[in-house]
Amino acid sequence: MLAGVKRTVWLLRKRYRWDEVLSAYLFLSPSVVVFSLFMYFPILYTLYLSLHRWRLGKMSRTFVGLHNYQVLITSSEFWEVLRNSFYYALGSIPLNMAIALAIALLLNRKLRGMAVFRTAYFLPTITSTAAMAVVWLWIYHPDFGLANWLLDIIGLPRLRWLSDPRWAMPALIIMGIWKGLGYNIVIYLAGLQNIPQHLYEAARIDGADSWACFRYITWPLLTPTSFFILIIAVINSLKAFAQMHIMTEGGPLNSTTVIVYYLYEQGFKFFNLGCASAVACVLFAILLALTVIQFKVLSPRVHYLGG
Amino acid sequence: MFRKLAVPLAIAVLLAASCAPVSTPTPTPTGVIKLEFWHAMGGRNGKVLEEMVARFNREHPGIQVEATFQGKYSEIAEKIWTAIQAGAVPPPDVAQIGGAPLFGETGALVPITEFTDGPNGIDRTKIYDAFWAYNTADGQIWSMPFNNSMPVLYYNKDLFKEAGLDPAKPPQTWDELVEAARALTKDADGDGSIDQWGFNTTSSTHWYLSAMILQNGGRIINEDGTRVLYDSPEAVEALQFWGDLVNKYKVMPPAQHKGAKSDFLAGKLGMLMASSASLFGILEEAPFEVGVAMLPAKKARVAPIGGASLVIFKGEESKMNAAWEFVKWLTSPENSNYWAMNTGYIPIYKGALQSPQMQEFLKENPLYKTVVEQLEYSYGIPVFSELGTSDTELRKAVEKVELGAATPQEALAEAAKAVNKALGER
Repeated sequence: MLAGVKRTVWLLRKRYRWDEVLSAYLFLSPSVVVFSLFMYFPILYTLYLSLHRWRLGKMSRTFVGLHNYQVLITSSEFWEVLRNSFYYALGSIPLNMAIALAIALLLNRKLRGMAVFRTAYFLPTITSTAAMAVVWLWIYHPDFGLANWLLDIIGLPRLRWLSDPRWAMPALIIMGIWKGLGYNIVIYLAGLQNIPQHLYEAARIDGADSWACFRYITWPLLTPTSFFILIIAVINSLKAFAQMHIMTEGGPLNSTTVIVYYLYEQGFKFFNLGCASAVACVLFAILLALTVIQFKVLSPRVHYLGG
Repeated sequence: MFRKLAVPLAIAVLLAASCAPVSTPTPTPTGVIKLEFWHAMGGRNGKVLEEMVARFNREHPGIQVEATFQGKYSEIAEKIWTAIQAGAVPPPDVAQIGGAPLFGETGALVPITEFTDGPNGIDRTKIYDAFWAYNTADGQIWSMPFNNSMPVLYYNKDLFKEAGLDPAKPPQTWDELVEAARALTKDADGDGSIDQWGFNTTSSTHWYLSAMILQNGGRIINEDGTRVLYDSPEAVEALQFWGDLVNKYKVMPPAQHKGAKSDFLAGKLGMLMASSASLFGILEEAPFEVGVAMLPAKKARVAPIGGASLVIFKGEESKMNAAWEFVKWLTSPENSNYWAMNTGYIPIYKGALQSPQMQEFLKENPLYKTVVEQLEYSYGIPVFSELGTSDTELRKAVEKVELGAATPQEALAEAAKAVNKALGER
């Protein structure tokens, strides 16, 4: 924001023609209006609501200050919910990124029919979560599901998957990885294709093997891509909701109640909108903090291709 | 110079115009009143409803009802709640909601008695009292009973025969339920895991547990709707029985209600407790002979009614009157019978069973007869302000007991505590 203002002032100082500046702002105005209407206003309104008690039926809200936040922080349930969310994030992100990178490396070749594979990996990403969740409900069926059939084949004991509080979250993580893979593969592929071939050719001449090429060329030059994927993945995994809503309803025994599901439950099952807004604000704060930390810690380690 | 600004200016102006509140009503042919009707009937029952709406529109050229499916009860309640409170979208003129009287407090509804008791009204005494109870909050009847159902026990007659049970004699009591379920539970391939379960329920476990609590002489809520009463010994006993089905007799899989209906249809489940409104859907899909029985009894035979009701929102006089015309038509004795006979919901009029159409229908659909006979034992659990919280807490209590995370006593005490706390805060 500030940078924008400074730049405008600078532009004006340089005596840019005022009509050009004005037309730039006019071109920007639609998106500014849309953003304020659908992003900034709801965010501020949520903050405002989080300071009130507001329940179904009551048309009036009572200002209660930080009461809703106090209730959240002192409830053991909310901490459990936070733990579940981080379990989901930590369980899915590293694996997802590793598998996505491995598959992207495999797909980054000039082979016949590669387009077919690339499409196949991308399919889960464009499938609606709701439709997918219904199919996975069957895969995880304890008695006749595909997952237990596979366990039978490799001689492992059957699991009760979504009906077992210990396994419900891993089950959702597996599905989440499957679902999120396609998107990350595409991003990684784009990153891989941005790496100039001459670097590999030079390395080969110097006698570098495949591992060395990966370690010293591919990986460092993919760090901007990985960084981007990580930030998006952290945000997305903490925002996970649809699969919990459809497949487990937060159960069994709250084991899959993640932040957004909790928010939904407070807001639309208990019609406790003040509390739900407070949950939303806490989530916003967590995501903001995590993103800032990631930028601070990881940015110095990201290698951008010079030039 | 100004020519350059023309395009962005045009965009900005257009945008500003599109943001301005739209006040011009959609032009309609003179005299036709358009009504928006939100409903929660998907699938088979949704088609029946839409067909009825089309018929209403044909018979009433002055009123045009536009019916939109808005998702299940919880989703429609969310949308209406958002519409009323945030004013982001206008609420519809008529809607079908579960727990309808709770919306009375918002001030957005017209109490239905203003119409039923008005000049164009109906004789309210002709409808079963339980339905009015189901539509009352704080002594005021807010909504019109429309689609009501009761839990019933579906069973697979083929599996009954296989297990050496008499398909003409479904379980009548809790003890008989256990007995039949035990005979039906099988590990056919002997690998140590069950391939056929004796008994299960769909995911509305709060409803079935409430039924059992009532059957055991317990109560759900006190007279003035200020305290839930399911931490009583009768209720604990009911949940204990539920838990025993899972952990002692091992005839019901733990925490697996979501797939219960599909399991039943696939012939992997002997008995299913589900809503009577699923009757025709189940009959259509089941590749085996289906049986329907009343809920097994304990101290008494009780079946709590569930379902949703029709509400009319405040608006222009002419619209509200047209809305009532529609509601009245949809719930008229003939149409409510038609609706019942095509969906498995229960008829709301006392005389409904004596009507010749219904008699004819019962002859052809003997299974529906059980549903209708159970009407005699129907019970309207009073609607109270924290009904949604209570349902969720009861489902959690059931889950805890099924998974052995709490005793029935602990689980129900915790549930009652949470709900009573919420009730106290209002």
